[in-house]
Amino acid sequence: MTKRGVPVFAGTVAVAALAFALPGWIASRNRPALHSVQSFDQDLGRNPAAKKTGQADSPRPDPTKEEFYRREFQWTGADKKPKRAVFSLAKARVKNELNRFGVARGMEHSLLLQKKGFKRVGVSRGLEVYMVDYQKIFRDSLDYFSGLTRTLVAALEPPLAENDLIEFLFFVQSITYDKPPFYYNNKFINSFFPPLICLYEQFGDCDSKSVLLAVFLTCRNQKEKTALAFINSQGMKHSILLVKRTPNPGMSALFIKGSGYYIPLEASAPGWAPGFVNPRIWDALRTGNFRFSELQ
Amino acid sequence: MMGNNGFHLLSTVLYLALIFAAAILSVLGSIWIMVFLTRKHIQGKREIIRCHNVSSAMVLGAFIWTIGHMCFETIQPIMNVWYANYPAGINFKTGLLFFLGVIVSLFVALVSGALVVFLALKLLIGITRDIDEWEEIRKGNNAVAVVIGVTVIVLGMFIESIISTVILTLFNSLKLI
Repeated sequence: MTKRGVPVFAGTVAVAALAFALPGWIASRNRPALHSVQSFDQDLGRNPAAKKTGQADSPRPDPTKEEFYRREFQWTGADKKPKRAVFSLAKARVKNELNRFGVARGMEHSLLLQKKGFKRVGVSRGLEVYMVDYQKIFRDSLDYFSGLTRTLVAALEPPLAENDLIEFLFFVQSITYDKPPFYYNNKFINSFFPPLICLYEQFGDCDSKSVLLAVFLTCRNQKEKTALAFINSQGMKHSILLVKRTPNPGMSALFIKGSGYYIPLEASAPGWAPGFVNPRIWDALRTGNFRFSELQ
Repeated sequence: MMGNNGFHLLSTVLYLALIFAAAILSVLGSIWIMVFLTRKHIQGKREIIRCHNVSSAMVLGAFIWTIGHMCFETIQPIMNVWYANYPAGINFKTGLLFFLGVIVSLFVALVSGALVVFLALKLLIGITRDIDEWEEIRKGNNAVAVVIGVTVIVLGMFIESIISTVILTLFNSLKLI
């Protein structure tokens, strides 16, 4: 190699390295927090089980030992006392949930969408319209959430059966309201977190939190009838949970033909008791400007 | 739902009491505002009952509608606070704060309604300087009464949407939400 060739070679290597490293770095900068698969295993700060594995002599984790993410929630209960619940979310289950829901970027094909938690709702201007299959996600979450519901009930002291609805509502309301990204972990999720991911990320939007609340309520009472109401009117896009109950005096309630009375539960923001929603939302509901989707 | 029969009965009584209070307040408030605004030239009751003045009745009806809507807008937030606080138990302090909140809420609704009526009339009188609206109403001019009534109702419709937010903020400041 000549003397002139050395800097040229070094420059070429540097440019090639930059060409490989730069897109990755930019992608990691643009990616929202905790959205990469790698972050599951790097989440040592919140996971005592993972810390123990790191301290052990062998660097390899025991495959038989289930590892957990620890998620702590603090909120003010319906009895105005501070509550604290720590959920242990199995890593394998969280990964499984991410595998089951969402379509990889660029793979948004109709058949794949239907396999990965979406359902076809119709055709608009020649294009097929898909939405999240809330009912499927709700049903799939029930088995795992029975244990998590017990954790939540244990945090409510003293647990009174008649206060479950309001206590669960206040817990879900206390979870940070934030819209999930369209692409999570490089998968198209249409800004919806399944209940487990909502707990894992500790935030969610109206539909994510409503389904989470529905899962908790159904795990507590198997006969609970729940539904989602999707409002898309008056410049508002919102969804609320409806629960089949007899309304108390002063409460808002919807009469669904063939099903009976449903009271609305506002999971998005704190301060709303069961049967009470923002007047604008209630205007949309009582005028029938919503789509009713039964969960159970 | 959420409790025993006693609680259900108490909620029903509270709800009915609030409706009754809102209705009484809106009727009495409207009569008082009409007398106040016309500087006692028009005695609503006398005009309507003895003189069969339809114009006065229409204007008074518009006032009752507007203030009534303001008062009824307070009922939902009050009941929301009631149901949100019940599981914590009602002790003397929270009961007193709740009662104070209810009184202040109804007062806020009444004042808002009166303000709306006052602003609507000032607006109309400001636009039509050459007409003495109250004199026309006293004479029984239905056309003027319809214009006044509609102006008051429309302005009220804009303002009533913020009442529930104001009431919830009030209860929030009392730390009842």
